Formats: sequence, C-alpha cells, structure tokens
Amino acid sequence: MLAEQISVFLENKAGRLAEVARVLADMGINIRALSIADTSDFGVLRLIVSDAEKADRALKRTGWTVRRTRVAAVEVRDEPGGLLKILDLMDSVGINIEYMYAFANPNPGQAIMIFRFDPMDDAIDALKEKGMRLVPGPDLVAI
Amino acid sequence: MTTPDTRDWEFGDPEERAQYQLEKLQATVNRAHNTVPFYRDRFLDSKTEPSHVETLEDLRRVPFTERRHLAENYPYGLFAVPLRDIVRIHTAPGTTGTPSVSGYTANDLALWRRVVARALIAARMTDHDILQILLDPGLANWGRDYKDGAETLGASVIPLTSLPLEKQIMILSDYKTSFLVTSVSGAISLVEGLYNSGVQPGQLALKTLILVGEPVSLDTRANLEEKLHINTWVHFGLSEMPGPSMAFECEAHDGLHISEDHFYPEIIDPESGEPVSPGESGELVLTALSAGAFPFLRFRTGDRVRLNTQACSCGRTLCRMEWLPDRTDDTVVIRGVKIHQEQVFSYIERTLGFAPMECRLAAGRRGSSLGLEVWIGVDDHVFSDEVKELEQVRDSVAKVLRHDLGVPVRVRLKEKTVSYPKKEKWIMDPEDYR
Repeated sequence: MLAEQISVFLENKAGRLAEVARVLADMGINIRALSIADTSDFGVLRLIVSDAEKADRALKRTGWTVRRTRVAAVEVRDEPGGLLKILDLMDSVGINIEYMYAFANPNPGQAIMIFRFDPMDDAIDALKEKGMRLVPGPDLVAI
Repeated sequence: MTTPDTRDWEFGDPEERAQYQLEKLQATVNRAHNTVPFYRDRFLDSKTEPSHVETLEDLRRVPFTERRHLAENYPYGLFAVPLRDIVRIHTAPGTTGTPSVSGYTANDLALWRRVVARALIAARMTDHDILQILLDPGLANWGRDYKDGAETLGASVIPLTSLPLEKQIMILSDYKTSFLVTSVSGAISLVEGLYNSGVQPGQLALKTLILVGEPVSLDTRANLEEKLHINTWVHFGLSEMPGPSMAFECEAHDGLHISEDHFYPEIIDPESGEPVSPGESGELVLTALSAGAFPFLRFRTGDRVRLNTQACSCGRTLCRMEWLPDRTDDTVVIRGVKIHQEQVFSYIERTLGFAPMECRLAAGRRGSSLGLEVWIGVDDHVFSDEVKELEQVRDSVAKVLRHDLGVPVRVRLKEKTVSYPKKEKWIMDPEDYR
C-alpha cells in the first residue's frame, strides 16, 4: 500500500546534491520525485527512485547516511480543492502531516502527492474510508 | 589554625623566603597527610612520609595531585577542615563529567584577597580606578576573586554580569571604566564590538586591560594595545583552586611573578615527572603553602612554562615564569576556560543517551576563539528523516554544553564521509575545513 522513500543527510555545501545525483546516475537509477528540507547547515534529501534497494546500497557504499522510509502516495484530483480535501480530512481526525511533496502528473485530471503522516496507519485508514486511492510503491515507480 | 601572614614577601630576601617556604611546606604536607584520607593514602602508596620532606628539594618525593583526583574525590574529599569552617565553596568544570570543588575558610579568603590585590597593585591599580569584569560564565569564580581583590584596594568594581556585549560596551563607555579584566578572546570580541557600535576607543576612560586564562602572543598584545589605546597586563591562575593572578606581570612585562610565598612552583618533565634543569621549560606544578581548607600538594597544572629566578627590574624577588603557548595536557583553553575533551564527550553522551560514533571538537585559533565547536557525524544512529529531530539533537547538545561549560558553543551536524584529523586530537582552525 505504501511507497518506499530514500532519505539522505547532506551538509549544506556546494556540490553535495550533485554527488548524490551522480551516484544514482552511475547506477542507472532514475529519480522520480525529490524534496529537500534544509536548514542553514544541513538538509534532508527525500527521493522516490526507480529502485530503492539498489539506491540505498549504492549510496551507503559511497559513505552517505541513508534511511528508507515508508510514505503514502495519494491520488489527488488535479483541480482546485484537491489537496484541501486531504488536509481537511487529516485535520478532522487529528493526524499530523510531517512533510509532503509532489510527484509527476501521470494523467490529466490526476495528481499524486507524497505524504508522511503521523501516525501513518491511522492516516491510511482514514484515506481508505474516504475512498481515496493510494498508489502502491511498485506502481508508483512504474508510472 | 594558622593566621594570615603579615609580612609581605614580594620584595623580600630570597634566602629568608626559602626558609619561610620550607616551614610552610612542612606544615602543609603534615596537615594534608593527617587530615585528608586521599593524601594519607597517596603517601602510603608511594612509601613516603611527611618527615621525609626536610628541604624544599625533598618535595619531589611527594606524589603528584592531578585534575582527575578532584573528580574522584567529589565533592568534599580533599577538604582539610570540617565543613562548618568552610565559608566558600567553588565549583569549576572538571576533566570528566564531575566538577572540581574547592573550599575556603575565612582566613583563606582574606589571604586570597590580598594575593589578588598584590597582582592588581603591580598593574598600577589604585582606589581611583573603576574595574569592570568581562568574563564568560565558566570563569565566574575568577570574577568573584577579582571583585574581592579590587575592593580590598578600594577600587570601584563593576562585577561580572551576564549582560550581552553591547550592554557591556555601554557600561565601559558611560561608567568610565579604567581597568578591564577579560580573556584574550573576550578582548578580541570587544574590539570588534566597539567597532560595530561606533564607540571610539579614544573616547573611553579605559587605560589597562588585564588578560587572563591563556598565554597571549606579543603580536596579539601589540594589536590590542594599538586598537584600544591601552596597556595590557597578563595574569596566570587556576580554575580549580584559589584562582586568577597566582602569577602576575609587573611593569617590566618580562614574565609573570609567581606568588611563591603562597604557591610553591616546580617545573617537571611531563613524561618522566622529574624536575627539569634550571631554565628549561616543562609542566608547572604548584603546591599550596598557605591554604587552610584545600592544601593541594604538587598539583600538575598542564601549563608549560620556563622559570626565571634572576632579579627583576621592578625590585620584586618573586621568581618569574614565562608562560608558553603549548600545554602539556590535551586540554584546550577557550575564552580562558579549560575544556577537556573527555568531559565534553561525557556531557554529549548523557544528553543524547548514546555516544555518537563520530564526534570532533574544534576551537578557533588560539587567542581568537569565539567558542567551542562540536562536530557530530550523522550516522545511522543519529540520523532522522525529520529535520526537527535533527535540530533537536543539535540544539539539546548545544544547550547542555553552553550551560555546563560556560562558554559559547556551536554544534554542527556533519556528513560522516568527510575525513577529519584523528578522533583524539582537537581540530584547531575549523575554518580550514569548511
């Protein structure tokens, strides 16, 4: 039901992001979605990639600190109010959104948002109850 | 209970003083042995007795006291008098997580005030002067000692406060401060602060800067003197016991006179523990001659000095020490406060609940340090997917260290891949690694 995300720790220095991209490129891994949460000193790079397992190993081997996290890829109607529906839903059941970012738009009328909820299980239940569609990991990277 | 001495040995005949020192030394050694179990055990272990100290040279037969012994005997294990006779208890950061505690009787305080006053008089302070004390919280004990010593002289004292630099500058300017006690780093920050605030040094009533906490190069002194239009004077002291100005400059500015009538100096080879030849440099070892509550014997300071027993042009016969820049231990002095690596790591482990695999300590160039930098390598244990948790790691460590060490602290989270100098060594000049 959930998708795999790779999180990487980066210092906020020139060239670090490029290094990560280079490692992935050299291994033939494609970045499908990306988000960087940064402070003045460091950042956490979050990636949805074509092969999470391979990316994890390759980055760890080159010395990066990497963590794999489960995230929810939620289908959102690509129209005004699409995102609001999800945010209101989470609000109403008291679930926190840790972070979110967008995925490529696969079809006209549909968008996909990547979410990390807290707590995750309750969020999934709430979404399912509302008939919202989650895109499972394998389907996501195949888009 | 000994009463404070009335005869002043500053300008006294060295031979007469040596006899006086020996009497005081024997009394101290006996007291320490008889009243402090720690010292009695040390004597037993080394098969020495107080009666073996028949000359000043015989002191070398007595075992050393090290900083770790203060932590091991926390809090009152080294006191030689009952607690009810102790009127002041000072805490200083130790080498491990346990602080160093020292105590003073009323007589000790009265004596110590005079020792500080002696150093201030040598710096030409009079009762017309206004002294401002600008030290980091880690040197709060010294702040109290300078206040007491200056009050004894009748000078007007603006005691140590935790006001920010801009307010300190306002006081410096408005209150017509003539003497300022600060660390070398504090002085450098002050020069920058004055420049930023637009106050002209020429407008200040400041005429003397007393620099404490670490040795300072001639270049740095000349620079400060030029920028601030003042004279600089250097004082040497310890944070663990009595305090600042155990050694002090006179107008010759050619070494620091050690108040050896109260603190008997020896210079040893730090590796072998043997006394060095006259004129050679080595680790300064100090023995208290006058202490009632805290008679420390052969305390290894970790400071590297060279002794000069020749007559000084100022007329004082107290021997002088040349304070050398490298220490003999692996302590780093930051803004005058001694920071021990082991102590910092223990605080970090206590805060995080684990010891980070990669953790380095860094300090800026000697004499210009803005504070302690802690570099924590983000490995799997430290890492979190959420920025706020990483910030929590960074901020909780900084807060604890700032509070416990009393110096500014900056924590940086670093990638673990970058290679740094070996773990045991401090990183000096972290700017080079950015």
